[in-house]
Amino acid sequence: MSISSALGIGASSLATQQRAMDVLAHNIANVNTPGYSRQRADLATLAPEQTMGFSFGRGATIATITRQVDLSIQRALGNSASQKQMWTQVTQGLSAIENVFGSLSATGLSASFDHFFASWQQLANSPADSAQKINVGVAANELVTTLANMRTQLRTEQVNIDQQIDQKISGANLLIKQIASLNVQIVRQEINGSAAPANDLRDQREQALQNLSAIIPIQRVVNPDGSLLVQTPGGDLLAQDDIAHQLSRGTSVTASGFQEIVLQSSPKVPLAGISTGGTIGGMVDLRDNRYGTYLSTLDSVSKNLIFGSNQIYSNGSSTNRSTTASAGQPSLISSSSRTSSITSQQKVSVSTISLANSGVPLASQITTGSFKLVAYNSSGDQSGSATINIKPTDTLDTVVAAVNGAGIGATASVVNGALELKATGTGASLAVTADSSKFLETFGINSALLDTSGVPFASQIKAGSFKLHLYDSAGKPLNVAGVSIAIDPAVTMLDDRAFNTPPATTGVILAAGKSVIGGVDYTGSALPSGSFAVGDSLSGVLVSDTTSTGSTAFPIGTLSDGTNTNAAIVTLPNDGVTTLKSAIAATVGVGISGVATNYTIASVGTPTPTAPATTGLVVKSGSVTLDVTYPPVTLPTGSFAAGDSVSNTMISAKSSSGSITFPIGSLSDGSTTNAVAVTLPNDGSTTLGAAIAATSGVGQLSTTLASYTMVASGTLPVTTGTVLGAGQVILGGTAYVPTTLPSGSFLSGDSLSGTLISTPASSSSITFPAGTLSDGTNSNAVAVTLPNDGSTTLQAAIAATTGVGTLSSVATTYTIGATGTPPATTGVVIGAGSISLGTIYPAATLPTGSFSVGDSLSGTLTSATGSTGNVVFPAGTLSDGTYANLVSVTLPNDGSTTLSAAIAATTGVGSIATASTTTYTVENGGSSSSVVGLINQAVRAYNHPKSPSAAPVTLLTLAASTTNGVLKLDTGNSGQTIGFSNDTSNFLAAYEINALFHGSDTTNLAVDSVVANDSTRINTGTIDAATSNIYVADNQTASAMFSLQQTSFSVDGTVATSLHQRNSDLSAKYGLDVANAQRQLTYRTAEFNSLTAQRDAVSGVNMDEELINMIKFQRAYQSSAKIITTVNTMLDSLMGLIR
Amino acid sequence: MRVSSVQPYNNLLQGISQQQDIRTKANANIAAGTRFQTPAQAGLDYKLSLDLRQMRTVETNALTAVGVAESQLGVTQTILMDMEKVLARAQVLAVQQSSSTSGPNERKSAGVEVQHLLDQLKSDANTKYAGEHLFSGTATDIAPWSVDAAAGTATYNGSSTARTVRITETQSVVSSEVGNDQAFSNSFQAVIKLLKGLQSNTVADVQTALGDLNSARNQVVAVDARAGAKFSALQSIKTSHQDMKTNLDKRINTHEAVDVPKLVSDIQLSDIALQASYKQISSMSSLSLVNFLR
Repeated sequence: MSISSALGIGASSLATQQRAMDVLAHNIANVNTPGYSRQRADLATLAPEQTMGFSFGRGATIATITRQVDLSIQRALGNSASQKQMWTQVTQGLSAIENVFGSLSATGLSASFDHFFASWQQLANSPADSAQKINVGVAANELVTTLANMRTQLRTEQVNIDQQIDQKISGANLLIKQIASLNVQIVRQEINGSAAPANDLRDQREQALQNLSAIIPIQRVVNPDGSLLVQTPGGDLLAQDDIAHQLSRGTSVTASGFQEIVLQSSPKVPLAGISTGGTIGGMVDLRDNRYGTYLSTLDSVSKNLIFGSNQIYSNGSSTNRSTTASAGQPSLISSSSRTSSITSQQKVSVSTISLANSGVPLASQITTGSFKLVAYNSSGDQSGSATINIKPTDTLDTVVAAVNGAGIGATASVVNGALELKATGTGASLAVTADSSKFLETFGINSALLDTSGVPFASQIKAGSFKLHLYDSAGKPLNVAGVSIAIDPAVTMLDDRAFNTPPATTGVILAAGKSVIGGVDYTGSALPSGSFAVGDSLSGVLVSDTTSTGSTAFPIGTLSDGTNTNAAIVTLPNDGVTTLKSAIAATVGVGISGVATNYTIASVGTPTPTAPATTGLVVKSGSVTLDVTYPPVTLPTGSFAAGDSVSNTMISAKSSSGSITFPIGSLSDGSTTNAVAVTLPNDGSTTLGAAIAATSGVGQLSTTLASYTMVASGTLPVTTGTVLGAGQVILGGTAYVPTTLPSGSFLSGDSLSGTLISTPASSSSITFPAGTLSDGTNSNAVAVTLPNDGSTTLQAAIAATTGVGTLSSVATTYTIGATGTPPATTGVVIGAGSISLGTIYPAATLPTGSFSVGDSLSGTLTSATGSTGNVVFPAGTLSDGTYANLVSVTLPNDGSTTLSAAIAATTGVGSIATASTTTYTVENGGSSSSVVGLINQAVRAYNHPKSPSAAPVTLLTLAASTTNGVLKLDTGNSGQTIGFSNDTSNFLAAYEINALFHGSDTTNLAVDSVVANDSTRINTGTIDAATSNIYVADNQTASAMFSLQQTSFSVDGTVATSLHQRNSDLSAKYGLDVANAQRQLTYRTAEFNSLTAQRDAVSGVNMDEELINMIKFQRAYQSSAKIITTVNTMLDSLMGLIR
Repeated sequence: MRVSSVQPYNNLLQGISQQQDIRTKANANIAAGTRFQTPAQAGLDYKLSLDLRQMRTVETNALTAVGVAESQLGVTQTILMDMEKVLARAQVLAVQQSSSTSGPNERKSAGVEVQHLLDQLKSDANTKYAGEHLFSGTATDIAPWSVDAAAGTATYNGSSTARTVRITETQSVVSSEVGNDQAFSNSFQAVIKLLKGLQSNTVADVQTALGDLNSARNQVVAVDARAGAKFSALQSIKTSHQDMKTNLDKRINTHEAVDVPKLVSDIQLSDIALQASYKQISSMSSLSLVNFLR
């Protein structure tokens, strides 16, 4: 050992004490740093030196700097922080909605309920006091408003808290990233210098973990290399090594409709256990459990209020009743009924016909929209769904193609005219829903029974009945005993329009008379302008009347007897005598039967035969409005094309842009063309035939041919802006003809332009009797005649009429007035036989199916002996326009009994006409399985009793119908009012008819608009079911409404209790939740504080301790310095010896 | 146990917060006069308060309803008493005019008075109270009686259902007498008979009417007595609801009222604790080794 060794030892001590002081200073500096763990410098002796057999120490050094932590406490503190934050959040969240539940000074919903029921009590005690009714209306609105406000506040908080979750997710994501980053730094530092633990980095990571725990519950696993694995309680990995998995919102939603929390990385499944701790856990708990429960409880209160009140109220009445009553809830197609196959109740004869023209009753109601088809597998899970778009112009085949093209495990086909939907696969099923097109309803697909109709309280409907009472405009009861409507939810539907009751037509052969089914009967009337269409059928006995504008030529291949088509042109003269079959028989080389019953228009020859002239009154210029406007026809822009045809009688109206010039060789009569150009002036009078005749050098071109064909040997004329006043033009197969007015008379309100001209093609002039023409101010004092000369305008005719009075002769438009008899517009008249442009079945076998509503049957109709059986018309299915059959009528297939005779022979048939000239319309008799049918049946039975002597003095005008699934009862303009009583079925309450409240829960709760607008309509009393009497001071309904206050009941599966109790229980539930949250928070806070104290006991910095250590190190440092000083002195002494 | 330097400060801070919370809540309770105001403060207690207050509202409304019935029956009794007086006067006239001492002229004069009595009787029977006919049952918008003295007819036009007043959910009382009671028809018939007898100077009819009047008067008295019995029964109902309301008022007060002495005591204790905490914080700042190091 040398003397310098002591110097070395002193020096090592100085350095060591100084480092220890550094550690101590670091501790003091971080005394208030969150998460800081105090550090301790562990001193150690340096390795000794062996000299002369002795071991001499070499001084001191710092072995390591250790971080003072207890890992179990750290872990427990993290969990505790998580719980503490969760309950802090829950407590704060519950506190935020405190005002929703009111206070003793303003009890909110409780006060509203008290006011509501007290108002009913006061009304019960002063039932004739209008002020009390106003008070009830005010109280009802207040109650609705209170409930709605409570819901809005709760819902707003629910949404707010959900939005706050997003902010917390962002915070958590930053921490997860930080932890991953610190993992890397710690590992790097501790691997490179294993003796130097990354104390501060570990503290930072621990603090990040604590902060993350405060947001979401986590689990941690420490790896040997110092890194940390962090995951959720459900095992979802959040951070590992340097990998950070970020949180985000997923696409799936919770039961309360909010997006789940998922990991951004796949699989994006909801995180498990996320709601068990942390701020987010508290938020999720608040959002889904607390607020969600309060909202559902509030909705339950509303549900019970709505149905409970309506159950009483709908049985009541006011003395001030309405002439109409509508359901507050629409009956929907049920989405709950699944089946392996669905077949439409309605059938079509041809599946290629547009839905709108399919002949199905109410087909015109089909609108552009869609329905949803859902397929389920054998396990009942949804296997696919498709939205099937529907347009009125679609056909059933289109629908089939759409379903089959959807590829969702469902097939469609048309079977015997019915649409059949089938699920593919064993045990698979289908359901239809969300029909905005009315296709499902119209075709009778899966129509719902009352108890599965989608009405909110449908399950409350039970077998029973209710009574309808009708009153005259003075309030006097009409049907004193009321009419009872029986309800059975297992068999009753709201509307049966898709399930008509008319008799089946299958196999029935009509021997005489005629039956027009689904089409228009043109017997004895003018055909509409245009051409026959392929598929039209004409009877063999068809005769063209002498008043027709000309004979009808059927080109080759256009008439079919079912086997062959005509090989030669058949002409049916308008002689009023020749039948179609005799005309065929007289045609040489015609090649088809001359004795067939019916001929069908075919397309073997000319695709679109030139139409026989059906034109009656032809509008040459100006316009006529008969509900729709019939202006002259403007040709489309472009040129005539080869093959286009123009009629001889074609006229170019004055409103045309110019004359039409047909170049040389462009007009053909079949054998020759025009040798020079032919000009058709736009004078509104010159026909094409006349123009040809007037053209010098036109050649041999016929001037009398019915029509001319365009040929391309010359340049074809331009059609742009050309307006045709008369005649016909066919461009590319489309006929452009002047307008023929439909058969019938002008109606009051029709308008005619002043420039209206009647063409010579019209059957005669039109005489407007005195008072039938109005210029808006005045009308014609004498009759005005508009000649069919093709030139005189209506204005000119009025001006030329002597004594026409003050009627303007320059008015733009004239309106048909209400006085006088409007003139007939009928032009062409079919003299005999019949024509159906839809379908007509004279003496023919009817197609399979049922009669449809709107079909008409002549009184002379007989059923042939060859029919398969009698035809039975159920009660209410035959109408003479005023009365219907009260009992079923049987038409025997004896070939002789006419329908009118059969009706006359039926006992108790009622007041229906029985003359042979009567035409009967097939009506929906009103199925006993529908509410609409039952009501209409009951009204009919009252109005037309079996015994004429029992006929009422005043007929009930009540009619039931549905629109978009909403039942409507209407007494029309009779002034009759409607009352209800004795509903034992709950139908009225479930469908919210004669109801006080509407809605399914708090979301859409509302006071009935009639009541809200007119408190005199509030039901106070109850109609006497036996006498229909009700008096102003009858307080039975008001009294019962008041009694509801303390009545225990439930309509939604909750425990039966009173409305007041439901509200006070809700308040109690909230209060107990708050108390529980506060207790939990107190406990968790105490736990957290205790753990924090424990952590501080281990890791916290104690200033006194550090200062004492400082003195300790300072003293050691001073002593070490003294050693050096002393050694230095010793060295000086030694050096002195040397000197 | 080892204690870190920040721990005493944290503990004191928590203590101060707790004491301040105690003071705030106590002050709020004293200001409101109730132990609690919201369900968040005491869930079950708040629910009980809602229930008790609702019951009290029911009782208050019941007493109001009793008042409605009382006034209807009170007016009914008044009118019936008036009818009885009319009949009594008619009886007097009948007695006088049935005597042979009365001549045609006296009877004619008496007939004029009886006509007035008949009008009064009709007016009584058609009395309106609060705009509603008192004796027409539930048809309060219809005058119950139409009288044609010449034809000798009196017709009831009202409803046969008596009016009721709803006291509570389960309690309802009849608050009127219906005009179709025979007391009314017999009264009219008896007076009409007397009137005709006097007008026609038919002593026999006057004597017969006297008997009918006696009978009708008794029947009116019976109806009046019935109305009186209903009125008396109402007093019992009223007392019952008043007692119930008083009990509920007491119960609500006991349940909700704040214990002021206890709260004052709590505030004082809190004050002491706060003062101690502040003192401790102050002393802790001087109790540090730093202060002793030179």
